[in-house]
Amino acid sequence: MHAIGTILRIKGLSVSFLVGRKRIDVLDNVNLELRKGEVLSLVGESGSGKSVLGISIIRLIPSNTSISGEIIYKGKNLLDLDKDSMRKIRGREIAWVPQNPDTMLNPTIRIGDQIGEVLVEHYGFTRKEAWETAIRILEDLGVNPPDERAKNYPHQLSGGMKQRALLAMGIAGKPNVLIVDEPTKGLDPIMKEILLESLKRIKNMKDSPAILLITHDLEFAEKLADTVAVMYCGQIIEVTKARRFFNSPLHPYSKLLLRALPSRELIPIPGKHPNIAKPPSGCRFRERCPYSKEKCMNEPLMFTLDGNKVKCWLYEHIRNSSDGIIKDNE
Amino acid sequence: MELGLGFYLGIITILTITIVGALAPIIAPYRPEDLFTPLSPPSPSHLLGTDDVGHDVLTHLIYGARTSVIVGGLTATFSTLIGMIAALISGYYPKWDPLISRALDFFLSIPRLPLIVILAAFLRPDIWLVISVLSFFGWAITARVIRPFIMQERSKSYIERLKCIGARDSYIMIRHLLPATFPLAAAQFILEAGHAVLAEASIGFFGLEDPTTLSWGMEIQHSLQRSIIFLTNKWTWTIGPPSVALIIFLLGMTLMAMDLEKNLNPRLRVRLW
Amino acid sequence: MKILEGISLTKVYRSGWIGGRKIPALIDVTISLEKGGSLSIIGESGAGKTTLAKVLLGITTPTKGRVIFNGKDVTRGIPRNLRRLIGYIPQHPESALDPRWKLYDSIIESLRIHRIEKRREQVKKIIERVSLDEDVLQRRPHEVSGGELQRAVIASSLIIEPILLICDEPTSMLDASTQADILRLIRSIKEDMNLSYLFISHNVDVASFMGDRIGVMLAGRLIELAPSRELLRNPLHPYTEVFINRKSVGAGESTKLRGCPFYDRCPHRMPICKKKAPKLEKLGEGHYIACYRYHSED
Repeated sequence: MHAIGTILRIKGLSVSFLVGRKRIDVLDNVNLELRKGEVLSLVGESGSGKSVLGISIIRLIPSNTSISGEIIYKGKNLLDLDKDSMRKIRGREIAWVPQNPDTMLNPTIRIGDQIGEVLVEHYGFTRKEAWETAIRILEDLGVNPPDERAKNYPHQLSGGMKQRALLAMGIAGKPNVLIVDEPTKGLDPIMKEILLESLKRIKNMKDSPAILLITHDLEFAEKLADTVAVMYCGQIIEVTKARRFFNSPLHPYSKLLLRALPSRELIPIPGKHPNIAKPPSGCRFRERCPYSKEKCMNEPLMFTLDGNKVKCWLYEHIRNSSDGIIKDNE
Repeated sequence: MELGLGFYLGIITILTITIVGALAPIIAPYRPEDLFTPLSPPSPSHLLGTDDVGHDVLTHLIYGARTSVIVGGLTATFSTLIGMIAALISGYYPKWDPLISRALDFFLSIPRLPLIVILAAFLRPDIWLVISVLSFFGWAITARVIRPFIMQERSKSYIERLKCIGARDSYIMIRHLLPATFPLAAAQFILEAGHAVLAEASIGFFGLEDPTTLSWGMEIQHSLQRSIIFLTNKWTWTIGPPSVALIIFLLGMTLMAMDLEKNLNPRLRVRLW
Repeated sequence: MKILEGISLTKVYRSGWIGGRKIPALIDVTISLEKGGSLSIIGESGAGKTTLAKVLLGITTPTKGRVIFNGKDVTRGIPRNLRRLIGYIPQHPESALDPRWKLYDSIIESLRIHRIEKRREQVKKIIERVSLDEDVLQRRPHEVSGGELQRAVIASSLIIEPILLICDEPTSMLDASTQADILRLIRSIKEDMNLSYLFISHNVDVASFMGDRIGVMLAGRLIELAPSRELLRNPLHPYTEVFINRKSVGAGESTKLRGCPFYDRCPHRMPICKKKAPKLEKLGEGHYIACYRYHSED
């Protein structure tokens, strides 16, 4: 089944790190689809493996990793590509905006030159053309004044501005897919607002890239996402349209997670996120779940409800409804 | 902590040479001033042969180890200690930093070996002079390496938290900052020791050292002065042993320092996520 | 009775050695905290929240103004015997404990500094209170989760039984659920141990959950101070309104010695606002504001 407009399709992706002789499964059988022009927000707690998914897509994973499954982009499995073809895809087809602007920007190069780098590298621009394009991109992101900022070095910029510079670097190569990893980390609400504005501008651009927004900041995701995917302990447990998700999410974990937000009830989820090295058997949320029952000792299937997906036995009863079910590995 | 092969090889080498040097009068087969037939090849009674004057090469090698260990050990101890204290003060009290930084620049700008050569014109440099000059100018290297680390550590919030609960500056420095520098200081100690051993050997080699000193550098220099021996193959047992000993000692220290730096320094440690 | 008072606190940093630029971080801030009370401070990064905390904690000496803790003037530094009455919970839990020390050692450290015995029972009591597992105590900071780490930091602050807690955005780096957990923990401890606290945050919802009153800071100044509910329902300062409603205020620098810090971005600005910064003045019951829209120049 091929959804229309799907640009990136992750099928049965599993990633394990080898630490000494131990093998830690960080991602377990992840299935996800990213559609053209859509913002898919991948949410989850720290340690749930969401950042690993981002770097797996562009294959920036450390060498002690084993990876299986498929990541299909334009009919090709990215996991089969050799280094050279992958390098051509990074930046111009799929761009990644890392989470730590302080270490990801070169302190000795002007922002404008860093943004233009991908154009010189991939598209054969001259430095001058690249510089001018960089200024235009900053302007598109709502940076004011763009030419002044382009001349700055990273240490002269605020946290929010650095994050926007990284975004500009991300979209400079006109990618089809933009992966943004934890953009709001350590930003205050005013900066978040400015960053949100930039991201909205990217979303409304002509030929805007599909955005995979990886974040633990649900309030930020709410303002931007079209679809929300929830990751828990290395598994995707829910994929829901954003409006539905923030009003009445499907998975018990999602319900509790939303309730913990400061703008809602600030009620913590009981128990703690399991260590990904030793996930519980059956449903991984079972031990913290208020609806837990005997059936949860078995791993739940991925059920579909109104086009949304949820990995929870509570939704078993809809097995025979018109939606039917889709098993994870189909 | 995972220490590699390099560390163990290094520490075995250094310990062996140190023990040999310390026990020199006991394990050396002869006294250093004993004379035998000059230039005799290795034999059961002279395991490494004798040199051009008739000294037993093995005996001199063992006593030479003593000099190297003393020079290396003391220089490294002094310069690391002074360097650590200077780095602590300069990194912890921003008020003192400009002064100490300028001092560091001054000491770092003076090349130590040429200075000893110049001093040698006026004094007969024995190993104590070598140790003093090397330590007096060597602490700056250690201080320069440790200072930024202290500054980084000091900016972490646990230091502020400690001040808030009433910890004295001396307590913070001794209990927290000082132990934090140990990995770096240990690596620096060994590098500095290696440096000192090499410097001492060079001074001996230039023939500037007190001629009564027994050191590996002097041995090599002695042999080279009798260029006649190069006409035969006898140089192999006069120059060979001290050179090889020197190389092994330095290599051992370098291996150890590299491994220490890689493994003990938390900043170089790889974290999973 | 007031447990903590900051009167006209001003802190000016100098860049460079001699004759360098002056950077005001705190300008004429006056706040007070009642015994058993709680006060939240909100503001964007660079507003001076952390400088305020440091001045009140006695880590930084103010350029002008006075700090009074428990009735004693401690502007020039807090004596050691009073230090044990103040706890501090910094923003980044990952650097709030010595990375080389086991959590247990870090937790009992304040007892050691103040030479207090009965360590074992104290630790047992406190880790139960912050619900930290006993086996976690033997680990080092990089081996535990952010939530566990923050609990350990809280435990190490509470073990000497302080009467005042200063929290500098202790949960801004944590996940939603962990944040809710820690916030509730701090609040309930306040009730049990009869604490007072100052809570710094950049999240309005968190600030109102944690404080009876909220102070809003901008560019080193305190521009509005009101009971939490009142501030949320009826924000008066144009900046507070923007901040609470999470609207975009647009770019613009705000640190200036003269004039209202919000002048460049304010929709209601008047000529007077540029000349002289408004002072914080009382408007209603417990509601203070620094804005010429609500009071005249004098």
